[in-house]
Amino acid sequence: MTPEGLIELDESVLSNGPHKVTRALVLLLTATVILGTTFIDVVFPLKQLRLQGAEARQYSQMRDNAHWSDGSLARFLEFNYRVRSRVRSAVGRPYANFLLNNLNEVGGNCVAGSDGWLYLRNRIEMAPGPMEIGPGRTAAETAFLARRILGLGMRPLLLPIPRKAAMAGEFLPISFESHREFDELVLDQYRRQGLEAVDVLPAWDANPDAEHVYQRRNSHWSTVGVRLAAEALARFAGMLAPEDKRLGVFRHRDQPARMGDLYSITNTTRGPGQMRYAEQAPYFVDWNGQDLTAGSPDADIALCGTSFSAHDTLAIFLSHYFGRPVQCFSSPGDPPEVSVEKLLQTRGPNGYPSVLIEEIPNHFPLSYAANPNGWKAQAATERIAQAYGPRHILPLALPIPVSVDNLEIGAERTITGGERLLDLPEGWIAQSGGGVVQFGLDLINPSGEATVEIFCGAFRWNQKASNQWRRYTFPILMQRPSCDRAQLSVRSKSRTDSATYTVGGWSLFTDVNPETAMPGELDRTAWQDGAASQQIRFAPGCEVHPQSTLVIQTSPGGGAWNELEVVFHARDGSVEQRFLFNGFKQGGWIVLVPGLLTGHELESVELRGRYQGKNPPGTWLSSANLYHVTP
Amino acid sequence: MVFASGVFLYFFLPIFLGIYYTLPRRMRSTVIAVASYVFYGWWRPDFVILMWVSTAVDYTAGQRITQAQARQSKGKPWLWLSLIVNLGLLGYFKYFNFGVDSLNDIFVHFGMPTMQVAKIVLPVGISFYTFQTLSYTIDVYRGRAAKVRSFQDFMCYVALFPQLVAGPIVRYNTVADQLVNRTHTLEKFYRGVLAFQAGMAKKILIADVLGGLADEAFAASHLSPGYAWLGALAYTFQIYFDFSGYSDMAIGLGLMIGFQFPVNFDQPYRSISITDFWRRWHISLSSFLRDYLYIPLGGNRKGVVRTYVNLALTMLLGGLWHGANWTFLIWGAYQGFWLVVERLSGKSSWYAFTPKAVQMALTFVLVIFGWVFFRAENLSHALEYFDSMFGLAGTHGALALRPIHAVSALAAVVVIWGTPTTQALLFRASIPWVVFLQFAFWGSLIHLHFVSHVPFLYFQF
Repeated sequence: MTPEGLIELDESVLSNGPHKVTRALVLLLTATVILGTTFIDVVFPLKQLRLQGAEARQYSQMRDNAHWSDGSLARFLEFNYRVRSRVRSAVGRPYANFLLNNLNEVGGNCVAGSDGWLYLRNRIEMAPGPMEIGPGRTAAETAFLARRILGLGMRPLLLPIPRKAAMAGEFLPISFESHREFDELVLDQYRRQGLEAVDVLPAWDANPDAEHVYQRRNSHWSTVGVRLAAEALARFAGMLAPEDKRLGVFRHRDQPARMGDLYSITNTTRGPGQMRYAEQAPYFVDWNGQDLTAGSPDADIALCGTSFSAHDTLAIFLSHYFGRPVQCFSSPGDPPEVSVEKLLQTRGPNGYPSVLIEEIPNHFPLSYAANPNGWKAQAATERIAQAYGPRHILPLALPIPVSVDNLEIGAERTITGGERLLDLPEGWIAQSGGGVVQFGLDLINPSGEATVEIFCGAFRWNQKASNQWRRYTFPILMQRPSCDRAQLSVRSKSRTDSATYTVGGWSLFTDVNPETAMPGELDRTAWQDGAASQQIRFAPGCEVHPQSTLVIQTSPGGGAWNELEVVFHARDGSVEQRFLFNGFKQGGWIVLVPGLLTGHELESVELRGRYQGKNPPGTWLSSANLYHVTP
Repeated sequence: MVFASGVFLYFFLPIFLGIYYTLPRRMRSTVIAVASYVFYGWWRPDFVILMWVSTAVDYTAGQRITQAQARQSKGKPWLWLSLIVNLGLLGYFKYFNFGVDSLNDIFVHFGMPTMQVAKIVLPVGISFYTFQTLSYTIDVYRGRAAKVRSFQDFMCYVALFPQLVAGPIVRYNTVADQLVNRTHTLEKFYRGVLAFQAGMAKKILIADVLGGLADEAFAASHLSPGYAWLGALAYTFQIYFDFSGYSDMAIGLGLMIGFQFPVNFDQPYRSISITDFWRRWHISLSSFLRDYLYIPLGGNRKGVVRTYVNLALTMLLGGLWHGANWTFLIWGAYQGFWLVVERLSGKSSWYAFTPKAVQMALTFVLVIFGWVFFRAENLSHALEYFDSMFGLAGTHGALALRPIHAVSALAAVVVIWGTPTTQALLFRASIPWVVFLQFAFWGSLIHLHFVSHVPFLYFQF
């Protein structure tokens, strides 16, 4: 460097012959690479975009949301340039192959394991925070939907699909864990909500082809996995042991466009239609039976699902095992709630099937609270909630105001994105199960990117905001009771939108039939050295049905209970325990679904916890009723 | 617009160079200014106005100060105008949100209602160009630089796109002559191309790859100690290769259009003390802080205690310059603390008695600790990360390591401890190195198509 701190440039160093030749070559080659790329991309642009998967979604999202003012248009143009470059399309594939073959590097959301196995990263890695958050919320939301389905006269059957990593964990790179316990937790959470959920893991594990239930280079299950799952579901539904057919019975056909191909996602292959590689098992099959084809418009069994059932294979196998037609509704890339909505719209009130099988891969509950699939699921659930019920509404009156210091109901205010609209104070609600919060919001949202969100502790619910007055319904508040502070806010990516809103009203309710109320008799609260307990006794004959709901209201006076534990006692000695860790203040609601005791006769419910307050009241609870959801 | 993007490489740069070398010399500064506004406005056109305000104010101040000094007056009001406008812009756009959030935290603590105000968007590079325009006015006021000859030259100086958004901070008197008389030779252009290629390879092949690992580490709720150290190391490499890569690209682009910019990095991870580190890291900032903050505060001329206070204060403000967050303030305090400690022991580290390799290793570890504060979202996040590094957060939690991380880390180690600096390599431009550089550059061009949009880290400062 020079004494002034500048780059040293002694041109005499480079004056000899070899350096001059090098210089000429470097400048020539660099100019060729840069100008050549410019020339080719300008003169011979790609005629059409050949985007797929995440790239296509990113492209359309960026195009729709591009603005000049905040730089998003510039970013879109750069992205557009990159994805449209003819040079890129030429050099991309060999380079991706080079990375894969030499470094096992696939990049992006893809992870390369041993022996040619590819995985999607976001289906392996656990979300931060407690593992049960995503499954808990998904189960609560699915239970909410199941109530609607039951109310419409259908029997919901859930088919959770264990993740690829849970089945082919031994091929994962060393730094990844299969987290098979997550898949077991998902099933447990469904069952806790009283849902009929099929466990396919034992059937998959027991099969000699267990290694091949998932495809090696594809994010989906193989025909082996589909067949075993269909068989497990048929057994669960009480069908006679189905004949174990060889795959040879089925007619195979090639399918050039393979959904979920991980090579195409990682640029290793150019796209659908150009992939040629052998698979472990045929992916697409045709059942060569007579009239047991999927798609019958008036079938008594319907299958709603994701891309895992989009190719009809599952529906065809189900037709085989159930011995009757199965109508398949699927929406690739979407959560199953979207397909359920499609089914409800397509089949009228007089044509609903008797059984609705909902296929839901276990990667959906993974960080479900904060990913686009979670939002889609919630939006579809919200639409279903508004259009198809509930049949019965039990309003839950709140003795404490939901607006604290910043808003009265009906008030107007202008805010900017990312700010809270109102606070819900501690103790605002203590609820689990199928509660709903509704409110109206008149939003001016030029960017179209704003979302309305409710935050409560680790939970978050959000919906895309509209540009006009609209009633927002948040179907599920808590998958477990909570008294945490909650916050309603509008969030906008651009931070420049303003929103004028009017909160039209709040209503908290649970969709149970008030006529079925079975009141519980309250004992007096017993307390000693800060420990408190209270019994709720039920008269004989109080049977627990699927979706039976216990609604408890706490007294308006007295102090708070912490570390609350709720124990359901059945007359035959069966017990279901719930630990409600949060503090429960007076004047709240606790809504619980004793799913594990379905079919048992409820004798009593015991609440235990630590009491905080000087003078404990005679009873901490003011009422307790067990309700049923009956059509 | 960023250097490592298709739009810049394949459109902006060729078109700009074509026009620049086609037009007569007298118009070239204007071409640079216009191109720089396009370059900057590509991100957000309305913020170009801020740059124009800063340019107009400091140009006028420089002229008026010179006129005042000709009349035996100092022209102090014009200096104050420049300070108020530039620091006001910087303060408003960079620290307003921070101030409001901090006040709201206090209000919440005391149960008072909070302030609800619109969030301010930080204009890219404002910290750099306001410092540059300030340096012009201050140097003219101090008589260390003559006023600029034309408004076009001053526009060119303020907006000079190669170093506009992330440095190096080029003081006016460094390039005053070059604005008027700069030479354009094939040799200069060639070395500019090499520097640009080196910077691009550093950024794409090392910083971006290891940056993914660092992001994963700092996003994890807990990590085992080994992985936590690995994550911190990945960020240590990322920030150096990202920032020095940008500086190399800026220096290279400058050379292509005849400018010689100051060296910004001199193998900082080979430092044997924190004092030594600050002679080698972001040299243009540390020398700016020394000349425009530390020395005006009194430097070491007002006694021992004031020297330490000045040193600590300079580093504290230097930390705050990087961003409006308590973590940057703590990082600055952390650096200031070690500088004071080393000054107490005679400008050498407290481990100066150990062999040089040990000094280098210990300094490197101290620097890593500093980067944890720098990278963390907030103070509690930094402390949680330290818990992971020292095994206080359990022994579970891993990073998804891939072979490409090992390759990039190995390349980083070789470049940091096994090769001369980019400027030394530029000086010699040995043929094997040039050939290797071509492969690295072409590799980074291809790789660029596969990585998502990764802006340079220092854009945010």
